[in-house]
Amino acid sequence: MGILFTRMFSSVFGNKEARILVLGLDNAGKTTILYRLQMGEVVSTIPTIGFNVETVQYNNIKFQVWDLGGQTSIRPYWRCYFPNTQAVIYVVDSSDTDRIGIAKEEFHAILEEEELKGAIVLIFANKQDLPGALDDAAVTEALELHKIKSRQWSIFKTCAVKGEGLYEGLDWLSNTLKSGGS
Amino acid sequence: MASSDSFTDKNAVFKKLKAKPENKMCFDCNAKNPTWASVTYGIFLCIDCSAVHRSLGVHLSFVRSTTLDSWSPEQLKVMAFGGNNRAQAFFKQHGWSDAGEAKYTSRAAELYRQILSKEVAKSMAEDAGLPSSPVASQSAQGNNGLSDVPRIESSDRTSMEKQQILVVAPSSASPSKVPAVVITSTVKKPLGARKTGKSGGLGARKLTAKSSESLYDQKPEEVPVPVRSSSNNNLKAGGTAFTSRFEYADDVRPVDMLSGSKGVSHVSAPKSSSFFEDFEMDNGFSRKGNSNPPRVQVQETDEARKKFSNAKSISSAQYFGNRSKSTDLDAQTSLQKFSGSAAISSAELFGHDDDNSTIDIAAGELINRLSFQAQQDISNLKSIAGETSKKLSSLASSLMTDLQGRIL
Repeated sequence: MGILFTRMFSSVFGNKEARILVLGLDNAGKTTILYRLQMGEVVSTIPTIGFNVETVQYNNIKFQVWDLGGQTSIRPYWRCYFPNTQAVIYVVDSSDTDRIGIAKEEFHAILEEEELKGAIVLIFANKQDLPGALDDAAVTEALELHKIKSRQWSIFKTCAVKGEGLYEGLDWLSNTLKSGGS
Repeated sequence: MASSDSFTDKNAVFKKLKAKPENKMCFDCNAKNPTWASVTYGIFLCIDCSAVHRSLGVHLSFVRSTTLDSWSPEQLKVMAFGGNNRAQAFFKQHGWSDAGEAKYTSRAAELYRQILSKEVAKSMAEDAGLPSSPVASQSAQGNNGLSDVPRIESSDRTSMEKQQILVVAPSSASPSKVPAVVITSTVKKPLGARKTGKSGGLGARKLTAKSSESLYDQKPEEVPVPVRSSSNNNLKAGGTAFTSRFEYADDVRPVDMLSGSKGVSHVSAPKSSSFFEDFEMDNGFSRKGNSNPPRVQVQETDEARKKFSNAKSISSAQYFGNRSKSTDLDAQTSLQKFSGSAAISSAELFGHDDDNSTIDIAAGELINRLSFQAQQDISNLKSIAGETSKKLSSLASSLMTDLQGRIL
């Protein structure tokens, strides 16, 4: 009841906050997406060792976006950031067909985390501009999204360097968060 | 010593490779002590230049951290076969001058990529136990026009081949056995692990695997000498160790995605009766895998693509209209229901909410019925009471009239 009241209150005054994790394999485009959303421009990134955190205001929601490094040996540290997370943005390099299987493994490992049980999942099929990139439907198959039954998800074709699809994804995210879905 | 089992230990390989002066500088900018590498070209890079390579896309350059990423034996082999010097020599020979990013999109770069991957595929094939003629491998190297291939490699290769021959003889006599069981030489670790990757339909097992933290840290040498009937755990370990871009076909591909594709026969290859057939198939496929990477598309289940071919996005709401279905099969069939309808709102996702509300309705109805029943009962009671009171009053009145009649 209290939560409901808080939600109603904040939706009236439009200061809802959400904690978002951006996850994905190394070189999927997580940092580029984060700064594209935050600054609206393409920055040249170096591999993220550790994390970047930025606040993105969109649709009356203050997104606190955590972009965590994707290298193999630092993926285990993702779980340190899981508590109190409302949504996960999972970024996939659609052109890296060789590793899409690994991307799937990691993705489903995340979904099984107890601390992320209530989080909604937004998938970005990124790098659509590159040759041989799988489209959203192919990524849906490859990630076996049809197996996700207990939470809301959505997948968007994106190209972070062109800025395509990112805000459509955020729209879905903010609408879903506002409707209190989890 | 570049004995083949050292390719399972990332740190050992890099320690050795970085001891060479050529690899102590970033290939692109000459920064010192590079800790990143492009597996595609077998070159060492600094973190800043790795960023440039990452932005090229994996089809041009696949970047890994030598410290933070896991490496498969095959990837390590590329680094050993390549190296900054060899790449430099090749590019120079093919008329490459410092042209920024363009050099990795050039024809020379493509050629070098192919040469490296072919060499490594061949070497891996040899590791896997195929006794290929040393002449062929020598000529392959000769064709590259590259003199500075590490000499250890070739000498090592011949020693490996000897071991292979030793191995092959007994295992061909008993075709049902996987060669890994037989081998006790130094080759056994990568070989055994590789074979587990191939045999027993690892992809299918991987599906059930719950990945945990330990997955990332496992090294190939942790794989016990695999037996055909080895437990799932062994297979998992092997699979994780080899989830590399060069061996993706073995383990990262879920089997159900590959149904009917080349991958299935690949996975099930060891079922065939002849040992040699196994290996010929394996090698054929591993080479194929290297030469044409985008194999993922092969005949997956097509539903999503058919359904959402024009959609900008796909959401859980669109995907599952019917929440009452629970199994995957049902989900897939329920997908087909959507083929006709153009717009599926996410409200349909909340089918379970509807369920709740129907329960509520049912409860409400029940209460209504109960209260109705109660009302009826009460009215019945009232009417009964009324009747009895009427009776009583009529009785009383008759009594009174009777009394009055008697008195009067």
